[in-house]
Amino acid sequence: MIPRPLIAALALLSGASALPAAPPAAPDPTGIVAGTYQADPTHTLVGWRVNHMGFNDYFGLFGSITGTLVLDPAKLAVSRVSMRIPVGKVTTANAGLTGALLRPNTVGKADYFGPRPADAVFVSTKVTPGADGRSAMIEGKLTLNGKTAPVTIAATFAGAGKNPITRKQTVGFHGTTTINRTDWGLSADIPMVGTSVDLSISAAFELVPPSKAN
Amino acid sequence: MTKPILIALGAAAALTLTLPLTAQTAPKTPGSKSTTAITGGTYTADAGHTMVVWTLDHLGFTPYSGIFGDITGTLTLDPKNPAAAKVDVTIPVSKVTTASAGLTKHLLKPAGENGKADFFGAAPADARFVSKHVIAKGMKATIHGDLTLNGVTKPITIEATFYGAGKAPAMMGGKENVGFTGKATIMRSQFGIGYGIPMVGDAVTLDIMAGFQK
Repeated sequence: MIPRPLIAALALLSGASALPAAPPAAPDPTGIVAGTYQADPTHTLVGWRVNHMGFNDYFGLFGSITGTLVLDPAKLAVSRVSMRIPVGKVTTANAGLTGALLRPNTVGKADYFGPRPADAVFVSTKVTPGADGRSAMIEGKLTLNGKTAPVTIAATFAGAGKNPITRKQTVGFHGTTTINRTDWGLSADIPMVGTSVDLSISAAFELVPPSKAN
Repeated sequence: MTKPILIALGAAAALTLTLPLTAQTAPKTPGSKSTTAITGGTYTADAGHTMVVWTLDHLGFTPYSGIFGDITGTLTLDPKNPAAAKVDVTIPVSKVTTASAGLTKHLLKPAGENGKADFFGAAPADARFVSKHVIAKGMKATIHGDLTLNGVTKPITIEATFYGAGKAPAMMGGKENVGFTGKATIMRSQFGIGYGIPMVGDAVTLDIMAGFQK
């Protein structure tokens, strides 16, 4: 199931009447509804940023991310999240680079992800809510390139409310973490391309109606 | 056209194998955080590694990011007089990159019957930033200049930070490189791109990663 791009639906809204003065979501965590949510793949992204030769940073994206979040604002510590990242759809601003990431090398192995890489999967193992009531440390396991290693994401609540287009209750988060790509066997071009990779995660989740959540 | 550095790195990695004496020491990047590696002069943007990552709010739920890459231009820089630096870069808006093919298509959707495009429209002109005034503070600089986007020119301010400098290995061209990060925030409505506000944020954060070489 591919959700229709929200942005296209905005055309209908803007054509129909004047837009409201404020976006529908409020940065107020009391607006979060407990339940099981599914990631909105068109608005869930992982941006990656890596040092290039010590000269500059390089940035790319993983999109089309699917996943499930079980969230109860009254019991944040029992929240759990799993995400599936289609590595084969890696996006960069350079077609040559994207090709290099997904290409077998001259000896038939992958320098980076190789052709038709398996999806990466993150599964949370422990959620520690922050004292500010709007952040959490999410410990979990990331499987990437056939290897599994622990990752801790510093997550911050971004907004919650009813999406005016899909009518779905939605909650969004931003997260950051830094991983060492060698933990997943991705060691090509070190040190010319940095070992540590900064990940910036933007995730929107839509509430699954309780009748369908079971 | 810039040959993707990553491909050249394959050659570099292969060569490293023939140099066992270097295997005992941790390899270093050619670039370092030392400004003494900057000799000054006129540099050309490394288009394969110079990009602007844009981020805006989507419905108050999540930030959404995309990339402008293939940025060309020049930097004139005297390390002894950084306040006299000049930068002039051209951003091919038509090559906007996102992780959603549907969104990219909408960003470049031709103008409707009213002659107005939702975003950039079909075959948009390149954007251009030309610095006017640089205030240098150690490793940082505030760059005041004019951004022309969507046919509108407005002043913007970039907070830039020196990233690294050094000479690329001879097998990778041997050029002297200097790189920066930069941050700016623009209001897209000021450039005549007001579609979907406030559902899609007016404020757009620009994260600039720039490599220049000579």
